[in-house]
Amino acid sequence: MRPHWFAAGLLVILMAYLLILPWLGYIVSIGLLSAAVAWFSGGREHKALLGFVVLTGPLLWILFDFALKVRMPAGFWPTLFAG
Amino acid sequence: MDSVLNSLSSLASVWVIAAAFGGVLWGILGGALPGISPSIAMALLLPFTVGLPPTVALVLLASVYVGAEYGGSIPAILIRTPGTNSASATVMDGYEMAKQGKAGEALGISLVSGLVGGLFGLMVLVLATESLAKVALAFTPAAYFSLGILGLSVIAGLSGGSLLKGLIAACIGLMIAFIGSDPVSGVSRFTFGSADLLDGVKPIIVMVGLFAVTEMLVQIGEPAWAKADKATSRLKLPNWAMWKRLFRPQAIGAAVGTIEGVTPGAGGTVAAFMAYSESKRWSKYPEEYGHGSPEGVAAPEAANNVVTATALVPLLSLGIPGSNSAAILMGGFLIHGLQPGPMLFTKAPEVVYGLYGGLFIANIAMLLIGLVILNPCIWLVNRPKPYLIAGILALVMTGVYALHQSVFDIAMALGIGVLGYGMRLLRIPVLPLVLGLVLGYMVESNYRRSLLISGGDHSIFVTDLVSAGLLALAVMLTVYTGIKEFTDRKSKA
Repeated sequence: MRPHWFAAGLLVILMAYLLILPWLGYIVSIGLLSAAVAWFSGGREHKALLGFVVLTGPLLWILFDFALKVRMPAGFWPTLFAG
Repeated sequence: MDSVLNSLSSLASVWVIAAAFGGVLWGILGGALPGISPSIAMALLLPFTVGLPPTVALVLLASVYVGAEYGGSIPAILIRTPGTNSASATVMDGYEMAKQGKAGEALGISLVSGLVGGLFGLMVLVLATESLAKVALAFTPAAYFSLGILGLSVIAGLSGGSLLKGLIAACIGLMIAFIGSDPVSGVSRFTFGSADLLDGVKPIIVMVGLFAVTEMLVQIGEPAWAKADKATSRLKLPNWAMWKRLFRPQAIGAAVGTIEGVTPGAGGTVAAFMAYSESKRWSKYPEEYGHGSPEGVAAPEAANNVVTATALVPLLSLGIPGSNSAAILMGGFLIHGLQPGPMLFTKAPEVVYGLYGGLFIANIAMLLIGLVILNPCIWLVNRPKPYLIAGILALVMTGVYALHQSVFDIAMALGIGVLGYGMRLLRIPVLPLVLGLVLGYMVESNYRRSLLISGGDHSIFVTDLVSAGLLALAVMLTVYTGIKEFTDRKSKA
């Protein structure tokens, strides 16, 4: 039964990502998703987890948004800084 | 001969060469990770191919398949965990060789046998595909409909021992294929008022969900795999004496891989095990099998690499994907508005010949990259599994969004992933679903077109000789599989 709980837990994390993506924007959301998935599947070393999260979002953003010109959701940040 | 010459022209394209090398590199790394099958490695790249020229995109995907077959043998030999299903047969003697301190030799045999198999398979692909496609060029819409039905009847052979489960999966695939606007009248079907579903469900979303998302849902509950030892693993290519010994198992692997590759549903895993068994039967040293026989590594590795090319024969000539990886490659064709099948040679011959040339480069790339990639692979295999899963999922979620900048697509991929997880729990094979999805449109549109031509008279499907022959073949195939399943169950009882 345990593997099914893991699968269900992962699904909840992925659905949460779906909900926060339009609001928090891509970089923050994908970072949170990576952190949550890594932590949930047993990655508990804080330094490694932090390093992984800090790298994942910006790296993927550079690859897709900057290099491949795919506009990723910006979230509410632009309105916040637009004043 | 023309096709060979045309294929050579693609060797002059820098982007095709780059795609072949990049695909092989990605494939080896993906294949080296237990749980990432060639089809998953291909599915992960699928969203990235959207903006690429068709030839480059397809060479990239096909090269992943080539690389993954070698990559799968690395953990099979080093840590007794096959990176891909087809590398399971390599575990038996590869890991035994590693235990005897010959891991590098086993990896070298795997690499060169894969190269021999891959090049032989490519030769078969080039020679067989165009001839088959020329026959199929004379097809009418009725014949195309029947070809689709024949493709669907292949489900019987893909059902993994249960025809009923295969049919259930195929029906789900057909149901998904019918979502969206009617191809003739434009009426909305099964969209439940959602504008996002008007264009239908794209095969790429289904494939990424079914292969990548499902696998991650499964992998997260699985225990971590063993660590590989870098110190005892140094690649060693076979010497002349060993080459002479490997000739026979490689030839057997090539023959078995050819037959299994062109047979839809058989695939690399069946080919690898059959090649292992046959090479043992014909070996001068059968007693060494299971105790670290180099032949026991060469035969399955040659066989599963032959399949990387020969599995494309039914796809390119008839438009029928016979394996998961071929289905993903078909997704690559569809993304670029190309329909695999006989018309492909008329409508986009440059893509087919480019693919041939790209596969040749991919096999050479496998040898070159294989010589230097071992240490990075060992590093990757030894990474903590939680970060690998998180990284892959981040890539999948981003890739799916990037297709149409749609959050709905991500939700769809997740839903399909859950469907795939459920199917795996119930032991329902997923390939019939993919087949139903990709052949659904072909069957429906040609059925409607045929009836328009005949004025609604269904006899067109049996009065057209090619159509009648294909339908008869489909019936025979289904009846044969049904009888075989019945007798197999009876003998087990």
